[in-house]
Amino acid sequence: MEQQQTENNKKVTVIGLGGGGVKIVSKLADSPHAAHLKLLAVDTDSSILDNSPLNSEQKFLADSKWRNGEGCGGKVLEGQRSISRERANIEDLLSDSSLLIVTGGLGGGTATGGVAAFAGIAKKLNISSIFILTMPFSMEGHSKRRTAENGIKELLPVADVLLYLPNDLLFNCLSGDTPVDKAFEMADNEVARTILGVSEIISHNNLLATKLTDIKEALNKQKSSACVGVGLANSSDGLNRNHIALQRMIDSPLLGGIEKIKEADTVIVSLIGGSDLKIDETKKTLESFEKFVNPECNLIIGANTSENYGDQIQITTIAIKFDKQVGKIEQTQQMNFGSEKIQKQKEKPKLDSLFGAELEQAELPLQNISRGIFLNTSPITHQGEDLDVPTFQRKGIIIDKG
Amino acid sequence: MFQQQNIITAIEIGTSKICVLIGEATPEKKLTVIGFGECPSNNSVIKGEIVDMDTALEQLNKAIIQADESSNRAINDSNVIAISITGSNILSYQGSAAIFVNSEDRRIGEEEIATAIENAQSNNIPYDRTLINSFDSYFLLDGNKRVRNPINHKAHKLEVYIHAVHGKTNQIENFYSLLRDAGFDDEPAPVFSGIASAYGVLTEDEKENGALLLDMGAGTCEYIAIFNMGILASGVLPIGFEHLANDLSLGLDLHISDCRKLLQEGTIVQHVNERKAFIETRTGSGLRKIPLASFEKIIDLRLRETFQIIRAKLSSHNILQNLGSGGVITGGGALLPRSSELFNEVFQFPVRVGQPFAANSATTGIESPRYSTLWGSLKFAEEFNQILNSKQKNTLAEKLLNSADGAASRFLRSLSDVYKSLKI
Repeated sequence: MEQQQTENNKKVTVIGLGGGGVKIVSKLADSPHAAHLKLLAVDTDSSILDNSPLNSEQKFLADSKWRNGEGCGGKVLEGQRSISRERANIEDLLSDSSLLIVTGGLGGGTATGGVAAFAGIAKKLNISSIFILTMPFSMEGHSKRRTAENGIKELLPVADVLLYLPNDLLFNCLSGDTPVDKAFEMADNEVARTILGVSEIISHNNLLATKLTDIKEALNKQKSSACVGVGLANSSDGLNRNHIALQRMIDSPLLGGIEKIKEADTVIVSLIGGSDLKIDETKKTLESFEKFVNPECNLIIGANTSENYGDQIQITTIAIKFDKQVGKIEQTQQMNFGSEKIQKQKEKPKLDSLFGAELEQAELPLQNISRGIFLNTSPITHQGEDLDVPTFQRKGIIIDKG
Repeated sequence: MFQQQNIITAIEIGTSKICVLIGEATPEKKLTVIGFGECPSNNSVIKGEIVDMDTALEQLNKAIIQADESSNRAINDSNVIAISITGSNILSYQGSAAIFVNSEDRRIGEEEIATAIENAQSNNIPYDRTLINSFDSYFLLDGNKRVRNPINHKAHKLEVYIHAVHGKTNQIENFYSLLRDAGFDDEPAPVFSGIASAYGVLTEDEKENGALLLDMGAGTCEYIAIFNMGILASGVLPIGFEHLANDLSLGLDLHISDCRKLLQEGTIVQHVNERKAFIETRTGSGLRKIPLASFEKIIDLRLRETFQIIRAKLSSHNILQNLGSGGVITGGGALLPRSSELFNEVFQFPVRVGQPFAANSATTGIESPRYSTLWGSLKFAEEFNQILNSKQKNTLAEKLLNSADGAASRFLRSLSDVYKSLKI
């Protein structure tokens, strides 16, 4: 029966993009639970790929023709170019997948630039895409942080599901004398666990099913932030392995504390165990989990078994919290059904267009704002923006001119 | 004389092209196209509004001559000339009015309907604007019974809900004076481009179940939402294909004419299908390789934004849930496959590309989304022609003769008559 199950299950491809991503994928390769995942490490730097323990079919050196395997040197634009140059090859690699999980550390060149290209490829091939990305440690400096945030801004409208995990949360559970390399390694480990947890939520659905659409639906309803916690325990850990797993999930550093679950508007929880998973355990775990969550919230529950898990039990939680204050740009990107809301948005920018439009442009000379052939025509404004000016200029998106 | 009555003409003065279509319409036969002429606008029209009357006239004359030659007829013999009108100045509103039925037997007659429609049309338009089209969406009897054709129903109170499209008088006069200069003596029948396209490409099912038609032309994007044979909303967003070319030109430092060519010749789509990573262009200093992703990004951003603006406009009127048949995209913009993909993505409903249909075989050459408005205008003219012809037999409709000012049509109706949407 298990055999049948895996055949029915769709193929999940995990792509580790850039230096950080390759490390995470390498970690995944060590885990027996990742057996059903197709792993792929993509980078522009050949030395990073060479150091990875993955076998050669699992490595893909992007843009070797132009970049000679020397990496992007932290330049987002170069990363963007490299991945878009390889689109045809990547399409081939992904053609047999039905779900794409892309992971990587934002802040560098290849990952920050490449993620949006992957989202585009997935869209084109009609594959659902999940992006699980880490935000740099704040000690890595503000410029890296800004790069990472810009990358997210670009990815947000095209990704199906985007989870970004702040590495800083790790500090909560690390003692001050932890060696730096250990801290980075832990970050990779945690992300690898998270990827497994998330792929587990979706890929097995033999008992209580949770689907990708559940996550998509919850995340796309409104601008929201999500955190993920994963806890794994086996029977040798103690008597109540389910409670130990639950405890570990709550302590999981990337979740950021139990408050996140308590405050969440939507919680997706999934439990997976080996074939010896008992109904009593499942019931107890899910019931005790229910005590943590806000009774108002939307709770989606899943439970599965997989032989890979032996005597282990794993609990994955995605806690989604809607933003109460939504940014201006994002407002237009999301779907708004309530008419009142839109009316409110409309009224505000009118003032801008009357008094502030020209001033604003002068104050923000980020890019050369121009109207081109529409220079001498009467402008059309919508929510205070001159629509004759190219959209990419108004949104501040940098275009690669080649 | 008999022939003359059945020759109709449609003229479109668009941002990219000026074209003329001549058709023959008889009550027994399907509408047949007998002549066609097309000329580029040469920048005389920007965002749907005429900016250079001289060039526009010159090009219009060329198109007329072409059409005349291909049909062997002088268009001036046409019974009806329909001209499609667009531009950012065009607005619309949903009007309503109620009247009490005073006749003894409380039967609703044509006069009651006409009065109600007239009342509904009379409000809302500022002094510097002119009504272009007006269509009755539905009628309400005694405040609760909804009917499409109230004639001979019994009721105390008759309410009518109409959709009226109006524009700046001066801008519309520009179109008329252009036609006068071109040698047409009669007052043309104006039709809002969006409505014309709906005539041209929407099927009966779509009009019944609800559909959103998007006509993406070179300078403007007209949208019209139809449900239950009535228009829920219509409007113009002055963003078109020229904006895409302009965005590309500014973003990638290419000349605007190169960008137009890239878009029109489908080079971008072709490159995507061939799975190439670059588009190569020759410049003064040598070969330049521009990543295909940059083109796609610029186009995606612009189209997505355009559709989102339209979506926001419609959702503020609570219309989206009434669009059961999904979306139809037409106009030159529909030739880019990415348009319909993004249209589908933003609105989350099925989308098809609309193009002229139900034409007799002589239409070869206009079966492209580019000519939806032109073809629709001709169908509009056909209906208009039928009214004019029937008017000669019908005594009551004689009144129409004096007031056939173009606000007329029995749009989307089958049996009921047109005069209900006419001012009397």
